[in-house]
Amino acid sequence: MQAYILKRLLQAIPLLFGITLVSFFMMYLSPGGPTDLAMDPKIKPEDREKMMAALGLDQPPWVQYLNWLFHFIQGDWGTSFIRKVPVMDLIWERLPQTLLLMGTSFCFAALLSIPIGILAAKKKNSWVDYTSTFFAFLGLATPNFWLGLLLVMLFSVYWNIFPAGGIASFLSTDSGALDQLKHLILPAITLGTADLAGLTRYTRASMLEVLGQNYMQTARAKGMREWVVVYKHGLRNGLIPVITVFGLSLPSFFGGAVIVEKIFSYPGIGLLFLDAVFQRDYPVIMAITTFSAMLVVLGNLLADILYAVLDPRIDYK
Amino acid sequence: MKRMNPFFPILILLFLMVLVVHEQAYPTSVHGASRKGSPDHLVIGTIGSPSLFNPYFSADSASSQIESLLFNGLVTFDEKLKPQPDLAQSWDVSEDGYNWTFHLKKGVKFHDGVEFTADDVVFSYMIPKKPGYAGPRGSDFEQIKSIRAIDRYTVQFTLKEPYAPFLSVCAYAILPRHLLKDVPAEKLAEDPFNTKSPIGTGPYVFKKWKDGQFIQMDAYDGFHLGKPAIQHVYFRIVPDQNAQLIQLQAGGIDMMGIPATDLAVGRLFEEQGKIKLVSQPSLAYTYIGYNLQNPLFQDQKVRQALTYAINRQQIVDIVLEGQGQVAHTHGSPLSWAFSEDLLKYEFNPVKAKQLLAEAGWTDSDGDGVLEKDGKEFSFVLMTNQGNKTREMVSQIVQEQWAEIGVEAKPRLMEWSAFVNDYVDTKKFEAIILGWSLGVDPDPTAIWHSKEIASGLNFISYRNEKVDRLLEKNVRELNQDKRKEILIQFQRIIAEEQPYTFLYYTNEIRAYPPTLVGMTKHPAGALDQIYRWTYE
Repeated sequence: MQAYILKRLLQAIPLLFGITLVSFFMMYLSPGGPTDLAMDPKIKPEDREKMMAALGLDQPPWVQYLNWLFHFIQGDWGTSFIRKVPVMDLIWERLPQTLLLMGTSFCFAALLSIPIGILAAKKKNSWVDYTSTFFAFLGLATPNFWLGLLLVMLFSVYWNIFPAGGIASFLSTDSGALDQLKHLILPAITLGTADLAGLTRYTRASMLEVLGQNYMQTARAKGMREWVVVYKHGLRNGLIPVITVFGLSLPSFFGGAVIVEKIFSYPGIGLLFLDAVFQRDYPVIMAITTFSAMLVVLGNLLADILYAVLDPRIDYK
Repeated sequence: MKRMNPFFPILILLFLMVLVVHEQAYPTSVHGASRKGSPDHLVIGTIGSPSLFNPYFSADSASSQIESLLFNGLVTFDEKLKPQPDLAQSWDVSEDGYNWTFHLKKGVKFHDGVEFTADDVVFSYMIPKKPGYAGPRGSDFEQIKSIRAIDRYTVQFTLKEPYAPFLSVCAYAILPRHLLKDVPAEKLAEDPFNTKSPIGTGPYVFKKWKDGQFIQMDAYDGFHLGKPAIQHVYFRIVPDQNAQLIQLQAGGIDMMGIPATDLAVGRLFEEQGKIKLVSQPSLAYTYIGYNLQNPLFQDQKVRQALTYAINRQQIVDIVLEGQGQVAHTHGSPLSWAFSEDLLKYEFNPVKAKQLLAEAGWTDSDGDGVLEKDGKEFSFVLMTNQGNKTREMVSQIVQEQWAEIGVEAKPRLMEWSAFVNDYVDTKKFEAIILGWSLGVDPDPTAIWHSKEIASGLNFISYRNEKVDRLLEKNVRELNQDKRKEILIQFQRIIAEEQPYTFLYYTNEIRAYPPTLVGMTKHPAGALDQIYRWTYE
């Protein structure tokens, strides 16, 4: 097992290297640069040239890339062009918020989709199945920026149940765990809905296949109670393909976070990334792209390891 | 197995929708709105995240707003854009215009208690002149030859040449020398002073910066013009325009700027007693710029015709909901250097057609678009994406030009791409853009022919008379004479119409209903905030 993990981690190195290369040059292909944001009559072309030179932007792109890579390998992620502070500081300040948001919406998606999927499979063609199918398609078809605004409109503006944005009550002493949770619910639902919908469908399909297997008949013939049959024998087998989908849905959480964080003024990595893109803050863009690529690679590895845990037939030796 | 009607879930959804629609359009009571009594704070909404709090390195408006509370300059500019004493008590300029002497206020203290002196002035205004400096402010200080402290409270500047806009340079912030004197120029941008502990002489003290959330500032007890009445000022970062309006309604934000396109929503909140709206002229104008390198726009008659064809008053009334004023030339009616007495091209499509005919444009093939020498009068009208007002203007202009046989094809582009690929490279044909003018009326950066190559004269306007006027304008220290020069310049521009000047935009701001003391300063939303208070 350790050997396998090590092998996978080593394989990830060229992959990540490729990702940085592609994202660096994609970033350079996008027009504009960090110094031509403000069309300010007070900022002269000479000032701009000096600023470009100070940022190292007067060098050819490949030199800039190698420069970046050289520092990156040594653990130096650079300094933000706009904020003039180490990129690492910015990321560490924002990362916990995003991980909390991703984690919560992931739990929301996982904890609801599996039982609903099982129920829908168990009661195939019943109203439970139809309803869940209907809402699953609705959830998949709903863009999250729209869903976010709708939820704010309903739960914040009309019904005043949840706050419209931020991560803690502003100007109030009440900023305990409960308060934070209240701020987390709407963005988490917005971010997790599409995945909840997709995973429900996957769980249903996977369970349908398992429920028709011979070993389920055997289990029932042994005189086990129905829920034991379904949850112990069925679920464990049915979950295996779902785990893959979980692992693959990680990037979509990261991508979705960009939009959701903007709608909910949620101070996470996504918002930082969005600002950086519009300001052409190259070191921040590079750091976040690379960082999220690393998370995705790790997520997939984790899914593969979970495979082995869930399915004794799989052994990475 | 019992089969269920598959339409059942749709019924549930319809039911839910009815529930939603049944609610009133805008509820009147939302949590947080009950902030009455005597609040000791003000929450200002900002869309952009600030970068850092050091005006010699930051170039974004979110940062400069906060810097305006932290720091003072030697002079400040009042509502009429006339210079007034700030940290300097008075100043005099030598007969030849080369030497400026400033007499500083005594007893002004930085937030850390250290007294402000002439050394701080020398230190601060030398920052952009140091060899290692790589910030955006270098050219502003270029005219300064040397600065020296004559005594503890007197500073003398020697200029390379007499320079009329010099006082606007003296509005730059004074930083505390005692905290920054050992930081090398090339390291100053990254110094923690800028992000963790900025210290100035301004009315508010930096307290806390929660990245992506808010900046808290507290009243400075020792402020030299008196302790501010409002104890805490918060800048709350809400990056989405709609989310900002929701926060304003819910009471999460007290004050924000409202774009004209959201004015209806603002009025609704005002009726509900949540805010009061104040609309006032600003120093910004919007224009259509013509690329004068393009043969299409080189004839003055053609440009005049294009202006005649646009009903600008209608644009102000419809797009800006009346919150603006038609513009006719460069400059601002708010400035001392401006005269309304100039050529105006009021809406007149008949005159427009006549001028185009005189210029040789006729619709010979009957397709509704004019031709000359076999070439159609058709071009791309570009503007930046995300500015709803400009998007609407481009559509209206397109229709009105179509009436006189001119075909404009509107195109929207992301800001950075727009500026970099089309404006800077002069690859555009016509563009809708705006200028936000400074407190000094000097128009050199936009209209002098030396700014064509890489400056902001990207339409390539070239007029030797204008060049000479502009050069005279910066050398003329007598304000009345300078005004005459600038008015001459404005009249030439008004006549030649290198731009179609569209309108001056009003700035619309939402304030708490009981807040008083705000000034109508056209350039500083937070002008004299230390005098603001709740009734």
